Amino acid sequence: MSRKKKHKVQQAGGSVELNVMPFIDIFSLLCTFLLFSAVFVSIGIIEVQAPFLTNAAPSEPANKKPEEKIKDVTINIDLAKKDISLRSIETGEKEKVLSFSNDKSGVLELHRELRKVKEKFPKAEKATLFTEEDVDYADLIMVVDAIKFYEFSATKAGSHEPASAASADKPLFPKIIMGDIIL
Amino acid sequence: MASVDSGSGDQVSLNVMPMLDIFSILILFLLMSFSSDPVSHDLNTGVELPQSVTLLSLDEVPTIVISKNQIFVNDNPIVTLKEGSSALEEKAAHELDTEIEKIAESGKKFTKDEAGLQTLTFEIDKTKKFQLLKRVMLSAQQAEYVRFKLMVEKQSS
Repeated sequence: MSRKKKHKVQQAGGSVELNVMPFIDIFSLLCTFLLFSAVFVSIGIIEVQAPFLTNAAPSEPANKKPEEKIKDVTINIDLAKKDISLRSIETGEKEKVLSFSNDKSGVLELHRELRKVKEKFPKAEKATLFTEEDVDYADLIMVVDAIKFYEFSATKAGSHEPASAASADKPLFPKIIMGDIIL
Repeated sequence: MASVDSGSGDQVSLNVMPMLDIFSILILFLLMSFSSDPVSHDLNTGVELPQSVTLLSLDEVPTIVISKNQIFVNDNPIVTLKEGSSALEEKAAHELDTEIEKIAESGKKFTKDEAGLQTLTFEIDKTKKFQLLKRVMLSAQQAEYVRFKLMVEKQSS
């Protein structure tokens, strides 16, 4: 509606109408564009690595006395179709083995044990995962999640609960070595 | 308000305000769910990703796709899996080795991370067994790939 016409209508005391058709046109186009470009599944990534030999210098000097050596822990996890074993070896100690069932409650138990290890050795970052060939990829990812992220729970049926944005960022053992991928 | 003149001379008007309300809500919802990931990638139709709590977003298009029935390398179908099994025949495994070797040669400069290690991104169906993943990863390791990025479906918080 032109300004002159609008002014006349107002002067005449008639009702003023807003033409909403251009709005609807724009909204329709915007909706179509957004529907086409929308991604309803959010894709993420998990990083793992294969074991490899390196010629990098060791982190501790070789001539250091044993009592001066900082206590460290080696984490090995064996993932089978039905059970999971956690083998932790602390420096100068015997290997400690814990077994769990390969289901949601077992994975949660494993996660709790790993958190205890992390509390004792906050600088530990590496865990080696040995997986049997008949393990499903989805189960492998669930175990990797339990090892890698600080906040994890596998209680509800169907899928494990999401972690909060702040806690999922916090790593437990961020470096996961796939122990079986060795030539 | 849109209006038309009916035959009898009465003005019949269409109330478009509810429609505008619906459009506004729809746009708001779509804008909220609008992906801000650095890479936009359409999943292969034969792939269902496992769920994870990871917050890392996909930063490169997957090179190797293991769907229910096929293995793709750079979008080219290389191996057909019999009845969706996770076993690889010797000939198929050899073909896969050759293809991965080729992409490793062509992309050596571009696929290295900050530590200078070669990285490969996988899109794998959640029903597959580790047996198949292991075989493919061994091929990749042979081609000097050390780090692997496994694609997962992020759980919504």
